[in-house]
Amino acid sequence: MNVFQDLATGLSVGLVYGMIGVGFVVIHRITGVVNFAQGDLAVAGAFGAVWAAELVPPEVSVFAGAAVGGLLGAALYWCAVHPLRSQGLLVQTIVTLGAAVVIRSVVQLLFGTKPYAILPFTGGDPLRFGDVSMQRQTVWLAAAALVLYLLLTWFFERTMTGRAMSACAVNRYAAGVVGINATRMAAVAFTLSGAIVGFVTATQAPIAFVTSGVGLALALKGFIAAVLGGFDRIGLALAGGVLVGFVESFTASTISAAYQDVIVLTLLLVLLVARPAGLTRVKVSQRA
Amino acid sequence: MSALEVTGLTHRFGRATVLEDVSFHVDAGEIVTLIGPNGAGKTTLLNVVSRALPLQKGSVRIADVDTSRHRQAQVVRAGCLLVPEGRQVFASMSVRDNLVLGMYTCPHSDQDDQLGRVFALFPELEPRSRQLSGTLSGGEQQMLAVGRAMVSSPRIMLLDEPSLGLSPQLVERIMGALSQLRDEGLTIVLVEQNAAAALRLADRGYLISTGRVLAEGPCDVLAEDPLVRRVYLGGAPVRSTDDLPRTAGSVTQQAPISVTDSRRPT
Ligand SMILES: Nc1ncnc2c1ncn2[C@@H]1O[C@H](COP(=O)(O)OP(=O)(O)OP(=O)(O)O)[C@@H](O)[C@H]1O
Ligand SMILES: [Mg+2]
Repeated sequence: MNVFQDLATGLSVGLVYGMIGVGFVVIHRITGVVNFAQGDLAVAGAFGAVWAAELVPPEVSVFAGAAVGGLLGAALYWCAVHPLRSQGLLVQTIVTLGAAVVIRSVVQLLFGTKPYAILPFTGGDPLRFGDVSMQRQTVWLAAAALVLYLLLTWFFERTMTGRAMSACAVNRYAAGVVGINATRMAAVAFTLSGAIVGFVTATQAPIAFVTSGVGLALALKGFIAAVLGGFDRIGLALAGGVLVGFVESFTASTISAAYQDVIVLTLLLVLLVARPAGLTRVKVSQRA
Repeated sequence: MSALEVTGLTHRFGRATVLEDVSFHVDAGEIVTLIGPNGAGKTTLLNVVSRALPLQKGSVRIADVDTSRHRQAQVVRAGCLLVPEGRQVFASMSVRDNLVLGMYTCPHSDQDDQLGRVFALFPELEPRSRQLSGTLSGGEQQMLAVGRAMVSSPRIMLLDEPSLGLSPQLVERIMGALSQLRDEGLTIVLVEQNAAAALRLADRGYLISTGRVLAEGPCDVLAEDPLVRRVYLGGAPVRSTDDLPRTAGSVTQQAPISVTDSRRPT
């Protein structure tokens, strides 16, 4: 057993969980909806990249992943969530579960259930640090996650649209008063989240195979990441996802990969009871 | 020219009719106050005019443009800004960020210029521009709420009880600021429980009770009106004007809107 090897293994999958968690947080802060289709948006995005990788180099195909994820996110909002806006957040949340099934079925129809992979951005042997090995693609993935995180932070703090989205999160009524169209901001949030998770999952595709059925599992782990971020902080959600990735790889190497999900879901239960605010220090405030 | 003209506005929450056939108008450069007891429907009225609530029945014209089909953001772009009840600042954001968000609909305006205007009117906000607005005092939050509405250079400002919970000196401060804004050409609709302060500042007023306009007139006349005194001093809200002695003077009681001549020159 090598702890450092587990960390290296857990990092790549953890970054995907973390970014899916970020997607949860972005949508929830601005709309109050918990988007359980997040994992299937990620998978659909990755398959978009698989398809594009036939035509373009892998490092370009991931942008197709972002485009597919973003378009589906927008479609999800306008076709399923927005029409139910008068029904309350619970109904809107449940419809995302239904949408997840629809997206999964369509992906399955197009690509079947067998695993797909795309080529890494840079070829060559895995990097070696002593007896720890790390795929080169993991470095690309970590860099992509870092850049995305910095871009998102800049977007929410420095651009007018980003500030307007934050304003909806802080006080939706007041946001309306200054002329911010909350519907448009919600649509941006769904599109942005879909694009992010599509991009990141596509970037991870050279490391792990993508199969059409993993969306729900991804969503659950991203959900745990979001809970760790108190459903409020994107940085903490990303860190939370990496933590979940570590827990998984430790479990796989010390006990058995078969127990991964049980351990992680138990962790979620314990977490929800013990620390409903996740890693944040403030208590989660009730949203009206 | 009418800056704001509301005609036949009716609003229901479920089966409860909260506003019934409310009409009023405000000329450009005027300060008009809407006074009335708790639950009269004043906040609902401003929310419908600014389209924070949907317009169910009736029409709203802003600067002679029909806005009945406008959404909230379009009403803001048309230059009609609400300063809501309870201030509603973005509590976890800084004073400066609140003001910058006030410019959301006019991103090309000169930010420093607009912030300068606010800080000139409310100097106490300037040293606090990095402070989280949720930690401001009630008076400072009210100033911020007015400032946030100012920075988009509106034609009309709708203020919902800006004096609520403020000391008399602060009430005077806010009213003074409103008077100054009017001198700069702003048209103001002022909803107030504090009828005395509102009637002192405004040119004309409307008395609203249980969702109807009961009386309107120039403020000096309205202030002396027995109906106003009764609504404010008596317990039960007045349902109709029939059970009241007819007043002499020029207060129009729930009648076609009369144009009064007591306005100050604009
Ligand atoms: N969302 C709502 N649903 C149901 N009833 C409502 C709603 N909002 C307001 N009301 C009712 O409408 C009536 C008018 O309320 P409104 O807040 O407009 O009064 P107001 O004149 O602003 O009172 P105050 O001076 O106390 O602020 C009240 O009886 C209130 O209970
Ligand atoms: Mg009110």
